Amino acid sequence: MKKLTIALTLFLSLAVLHGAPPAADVKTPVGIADLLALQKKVLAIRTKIRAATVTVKMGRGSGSGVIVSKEGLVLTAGHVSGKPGQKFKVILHDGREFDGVALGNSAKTDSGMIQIKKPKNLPIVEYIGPGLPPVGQWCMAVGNMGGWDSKRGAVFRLGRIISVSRHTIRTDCKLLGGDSGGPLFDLAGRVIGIHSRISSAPDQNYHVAMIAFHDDWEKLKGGKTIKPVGEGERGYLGINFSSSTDPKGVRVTRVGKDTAAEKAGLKPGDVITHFNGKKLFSGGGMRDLIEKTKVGDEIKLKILREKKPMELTIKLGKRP
Amino acid sequence: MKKLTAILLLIGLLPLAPAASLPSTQRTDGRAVMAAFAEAGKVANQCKVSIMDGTKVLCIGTLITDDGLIITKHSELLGARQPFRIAGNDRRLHRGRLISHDLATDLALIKVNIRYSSGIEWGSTEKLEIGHWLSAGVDARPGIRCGIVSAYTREIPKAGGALGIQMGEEGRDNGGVTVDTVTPNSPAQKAGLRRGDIIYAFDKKEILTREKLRSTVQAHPGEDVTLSVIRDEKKKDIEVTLGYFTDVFGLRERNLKMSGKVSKRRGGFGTVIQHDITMTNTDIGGPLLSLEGKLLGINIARANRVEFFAIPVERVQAFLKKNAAAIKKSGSKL
Repeated sequence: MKKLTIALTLFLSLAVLHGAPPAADVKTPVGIADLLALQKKVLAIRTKIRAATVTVKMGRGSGSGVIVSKEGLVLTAGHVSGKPGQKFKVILHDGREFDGVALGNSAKTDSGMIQIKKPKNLPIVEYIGPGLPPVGQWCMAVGNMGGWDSKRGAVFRLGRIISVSRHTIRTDCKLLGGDSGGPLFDLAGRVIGIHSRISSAPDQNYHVAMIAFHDDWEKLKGGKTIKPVGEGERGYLGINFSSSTDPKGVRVTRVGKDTAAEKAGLKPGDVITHFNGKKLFSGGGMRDLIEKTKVGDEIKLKILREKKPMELTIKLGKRP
Repeated sequence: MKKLTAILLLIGLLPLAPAASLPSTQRTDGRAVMAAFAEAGKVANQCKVSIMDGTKVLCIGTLITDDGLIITKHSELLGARQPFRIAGNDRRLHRGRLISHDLATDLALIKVNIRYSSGIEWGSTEKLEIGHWLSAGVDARPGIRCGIVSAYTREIPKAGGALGIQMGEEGRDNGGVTVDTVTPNSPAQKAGLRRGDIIYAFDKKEILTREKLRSTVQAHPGEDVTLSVIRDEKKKDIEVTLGYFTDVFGLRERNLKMSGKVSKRRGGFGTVIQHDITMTNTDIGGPLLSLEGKLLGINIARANRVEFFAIPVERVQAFLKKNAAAIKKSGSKL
C-alpha cells in the first residue's frame, strides 16, 4: 500500500510537471452533470482562447495561428508560415492588423512560427510542456476557417483526442481549409497542438503536437527550415520489431547480423521500454525516433530482458 | 538521474499508459457519450420524421404538434413529388403535403396524418452562448448527435444563386452584359436565354457590369426573377427561376469540395445559430435541442463540413404565427 502511495505521489508530481489534465477532462461523461462540468470549463476559457487566436494572411491565402508571447511569437503550421522571411498580415480577433514575418518551419513535423513586428497589447495563451496529452482528453479546436470573418469570429469545435503519436495528435474536432495553423486547446486553455492536416473523414483530423515545437524551438525561432533526415544519412539499428501498441514497450522480433544492435548485445524477445529516455508505447513511436538519428549517433536504450531492466548504449551504423 | 529513471519506470508500469486509439463508442458522437444526452435523445426520436420522395430521403422534419404539423427545410423539397412519404416514429409511412413556406427562413410546413404526440417543449435561445452543449436529431442511429454553439449568432448573407451563363462584353456602351454561352440544363437555358442576349436589368433594376450581375444573381438563389434583355435589337423580359450554384456548376470552391454533400441553399436565412454537430445534407430540417431536450431551433443548412446553421426557435415561432391562416386551414391547432 505504501509503495502504491509513493508511486501515485510520484506519478502525480510528474503529472503536474508535465501539465497533465485533470481526470474529469479525459473521462467519458455519463450524465448531464458531467456535460455541464465540461461546459463550465469551456465557458471559462472561451474569451481568452478567442483573443489569442489569429488569422494569418498572405495574398489571397489564409491560415490561422496563436499568439504565445507578449513579444509577438505566433505558433502556426509549417505549411502556413512557409519560407522564412515571408511576409504576412496577422489579424486579431478584434480586427487589429499587424505585420508579421515567417520564422522557421519543420517539413518533418509541420511546426512553424511567425513573428509579429511592432507588437502592442497582445493577448496571449500558455502552452503545455514537452509531453503528449492523453487519448480521450476533451479539447477545443479554434481557427478562422475560410478566412477572417468579423461577424462570425473564430469558429469553436469541441472534441476528443482519438490518438497520439510522436509528433501528432488526432482528434474528432472538425477542421477545414483556413484552420491550418490554428490552436488546439486543453480545457485549461493551454495550447496542446496546432491544426495541420484534415482527413477525408470530417471527424479525424491531425494536429502538430506541442512537443514537436519544444523539440525544435530554438531552430524554429532562429528562422531555420528543418528538413526530414534523408534515408542515406539516417542511423541504422538493425532490428525488426513489433509495430503494435503496447504499454510495456516495443518487442524486438529479429536482430540483423553484423548490425549495431547485434554488436551491442540486443536480442530477440527484448522489450525496449525507453529510447534516449523517452518512454515507448508503440513501434511507430520507435520508428519516429530512429528517423531522427544520424549515422554515428549514440543512443541509449532501456530494455526488459526476461522482466529484468537493462541499459544499452548503441552507436548507430549505416544501412547496408 | 537515478531517481528520474525510477519515476519513469514507475510510470511505465502504471496502467495509465495511452490506449492505441479512442474506441469509436467513446468519441464525441459515439454511443457512450451520446448516452449522456438521453433526455434530448428521447425528444429527438419522438419528434423527428424522415421526408421522402418515393424511397429517396430528402431531409428530416420536426413534428411540432400532436396533430401532424411538421416543420422542415423548404429548398430540399423543391422538385419532389407530392404527397411526400413521411416516416414517423410509429414505424409507419404517412402521406404529407406542403401547406406553406417562407423564403426568408427557408422553412416549410407539411401537414400529415400523424396522431401521436410530438413531445416538443419550446425552449429559448436568449441565454444561449458559444460553448453551450447542443444536440440535433439526425437520420441515423441513435437518432441524435451532439456539439456546441461554435460561432456568433448572426445573419448569413444570401449567397449561392446561379443563372448558368458565361458572361461576355459589359458596360454602358455595350448596353449591359452579353451572354456568351448558356450552360446546358441550367436555369438560364430552361428560361430560354440565348447566346448573344444582352442582359440590362434584373427585376427592373439596371445592370451594366458582370460584377453587378454576378453579385445580384448570387444573392437570390431559388427565386423567381425577371431579367430584361436586348435580343435582335428588341427589348424583352424573361422570367427565370434562379438555381443554386452547386447544382449548376458543381463544387468549385476547395472547402466545398472537401465537404461532401452540402445544402443547396446555405445562406440568406436571416439570423442563425452556428454549431458543430456532425450532420449530412439530409439530416437538415430536424430539431436542435438543449441538454434538457427543449427545442432551440430547426436545423437549416449544412454549409460545409464544419459549419451548420439552425433557425432560432423564436424565429420559428414567428414563422408559425405568420402562417397561422394556412395552419388553421390545414386543420392543425398550434
